[in-house]
Formats: sequence, structure tokens, C-alpha cells
Amino acid sequence: MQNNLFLKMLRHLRLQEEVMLFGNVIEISQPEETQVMNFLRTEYEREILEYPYTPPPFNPEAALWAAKTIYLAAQLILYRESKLTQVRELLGHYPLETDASAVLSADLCLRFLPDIISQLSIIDPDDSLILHLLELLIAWHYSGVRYPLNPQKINPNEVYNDPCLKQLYTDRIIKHARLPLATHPFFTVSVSASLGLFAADLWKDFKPAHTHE
Amino acid sequence: MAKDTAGSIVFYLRLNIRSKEHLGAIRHWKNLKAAHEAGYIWVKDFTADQIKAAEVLSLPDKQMYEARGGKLFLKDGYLPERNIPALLWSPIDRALPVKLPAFNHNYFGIPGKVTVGLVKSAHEKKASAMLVPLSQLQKYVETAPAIRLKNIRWTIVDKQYAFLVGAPLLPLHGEVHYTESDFMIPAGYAFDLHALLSSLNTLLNPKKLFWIVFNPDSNYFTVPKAQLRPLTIGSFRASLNQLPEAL
Repeated sequence: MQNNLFLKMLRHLRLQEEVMLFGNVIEISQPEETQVMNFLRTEYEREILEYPYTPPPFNPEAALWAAKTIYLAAQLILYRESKLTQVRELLGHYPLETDASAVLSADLCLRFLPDIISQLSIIDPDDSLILHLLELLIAWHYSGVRYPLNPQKINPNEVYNDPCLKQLYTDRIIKHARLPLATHPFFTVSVSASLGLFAADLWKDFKPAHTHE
Repeated sequence: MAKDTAGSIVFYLRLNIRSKEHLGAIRHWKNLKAAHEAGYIWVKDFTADQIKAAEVLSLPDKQMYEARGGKLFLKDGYLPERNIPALLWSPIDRALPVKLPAFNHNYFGIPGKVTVGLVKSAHEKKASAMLVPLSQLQKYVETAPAIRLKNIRWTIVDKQYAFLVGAPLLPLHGEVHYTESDFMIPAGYAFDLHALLSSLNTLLNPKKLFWIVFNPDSNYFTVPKAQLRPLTIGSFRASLNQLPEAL
């Protein structure tokens, strides 16, 4: 526990919302992974108390994959020794099937990806790592609501029809007032339904779609 | 009201002094003049509408006249009855003074109490609180969009009702209240003695720490303001876990 830098970094990120790195350590051992997985599981269980409908179960693989991605991406802000091809190997796409449970479990860590991307673009806007991370963010667009992604590129498939995930997604769109997403055909109905009669008071710029046929 | 435009006909009314009290019904008509004669009171200067009004027609012991050519004719009569009496006319409210009962400031007896209650009111007010059964709130909250819960603060009343404060309120069927100083008054009602509102608040709520919630039957209960908490799905679930018998 004392020497688990991976867990230390994630715990600090989740509790203080700050990245703290303890040297260039890219190798992560099996027991370290287990500890992080357990930490993320308790975090997930704390969060689902606030989730509407019936929250999907925790998905340890997705949560761990997202934690590693964030950890390594943060490492790469500071320490860059490898070439981009190695970076791509390091930060691979999620190898398993995505479902609502994977999206929500990965979001525990992936929600910090937009900040890492903005930090990287401050340092070097032409960094090719940014493009790679954006690709990941487009695939996991629930975590990227905060980031101005091109709504044409995201692909909300039937995974996002899970009532819990869809309501959370809608809440996030409203919270960050992302008009391009709110007018996306997949979300526009649920956004207008959430705002209801008070759309004009709660979100002035949003014009509810005329859904009556 | 149409007036007797020519003003040609002057109506007179003679009333037995015994029935003097009944003139209270028309004393507020400022255009009237009154005078005293032995055993009678005279009233004149009625308009054509006033002379036909129920207040006048219902006076007992009266005789109505109209003046033509210096003579008084019985109303709708053809022959003169008598001459116009030569009297000292004065405005009716001065001729018939009202005496108010003296108020004893040192008397704090039973009649000095007032009852505060609610009466129906059609005045439109902005709803700012509601009382709903917990079971109803549960159905909504567990599927609710966060934006609608954001503005609501809540507490549990009597282990089975949720008291929600905020705007816009949730789309639930419940008893809606509006706010007036620290009072929560049910929609469609108002205090019948509105002027006593601030004194009542000082009596019930000297430190202004409570919301005083009225029911339509004029009973009230208090809710400590500090007890209201932001309504979130998590706060609702956590509260219900501690109140398993509520549902």
C-alpha cells in the first residue's frame, strides 16, 4: 500500500481532483492492480447511491483499464521517452465489449481525461498524443461531455439506452450546457423531457424540439 | 345609477322617533339631510333611485312624501297632505351621530382574544413548498433528472410525508403551499386577519428558526429551517434506509 504509486495517484485524483506523480513508473504489478480495483469498487458503490433508476453493476476490467489509461496519460504529460508507436501500445483501446456497466465504471477515472487533454494542448497543441487521447474520448464520449467533441463523431449506440446511463448522460449535458449534444437526435428528447415545462427557466438557450407528431 | 336629471322632485321621508335606529341602514348616503321634529325625524334629498331602494322601503313606521309647489304630497298621491315643514336641516351623519362604546384599555378579558384562521382566497400566489407522501416522492426521485432536484430542499415530516421547498416544484400530486414571511400557507387560502401576521410570527417563531406550515383546517406544524437539506437521489435513498417503515 505504501509503495503503490498507482493507487496513491488515483486516490489523490479522485479525492482532491489533482494529479500527483511520483516518478516515472510505468510498470504496474498485479497486487497494485487489485488494490486499485478495490478502491474503485468502493468509489463506484458510493457514487451509485446518487444514480437514477437501477445502476448497472461494477465492471472491474473497464474501471482498471480506465485507471491505467489516466495514469499513463498523466505520466506522459511529464515524462516522454518513448516514441508515439510505443505510446499507442501503452494506451490501447478497451479490448472487451462495452456496456452500460463498463461506461459508468470507466467514467470513474476517464472523467479526468478532458483535463489531461487540455493540459497537453497548453504544453504543445501539435502533440500527437492529443489526437490519440481524443480518439479514446470519442469512443468513451460519456466521459467527454465536458470536452467540446464534435457531436457528429460520437456514436451513442444501444448501450446508451440503459435508463440509468441515459439519464446520467442527459444530466451531464444539462449541467455543462452542451447545446450541440442536447440537439443530437439521440439525446434531444430526453433533454427536453428532463427540463419539462421549465426549459426556459432552467436552460435559456435550449429550444425544446417539437416532438408532437 | 340614473339620476333624476331635472332634480325637480324632492322626496321627503318622515319616520317615527321610535324607529330611529333603523336609519342606520341609510346613514352612509352622504347626500341626505335630516332634521328633528317633535316625535319624528325628517329625511330629505333622496335621489329617485334611493327612494326606491330596499333600505328605504324596509324602514318601519315611515311616511314618504314628494314636494310639489311648496306642498308635500304623499308619494304617488294626488292631494297635498301638508306644508313643507320649516326645520333646521343638517347632513344626516351629523344629525344622527354615532356613539362608539368606550374601550377599556385596562381590560384584558376573554373578549380581547382573537382566533387566527385561514379563509378561502382566490388570490394567485407563487407556489414555493409542497407536502407529498414519501411513497409518491420515491417513484419520482429515483428516476428524476438532476436539474429538477437541484433547486429543491427537503425534510421528512411525521415519518410519512416529505416537505419540499423550492422552485420550480416537482411534478407531483401534493398539497402546495406559498410563503408569506415565515408562514407556509396552503394554496387557495389566506389568513383572515392578515394584519396580525407579523405579530403571530413573533409569538410563534421569535427567532425565525422555523417554517410555520399551516394546514387548510387552520392547524399548523413547525419545520426547523436548518433541517431542510438539498434533495438528491442519494439523500433520499439514505433517509429511506433509516426509515424502513415509512413506505
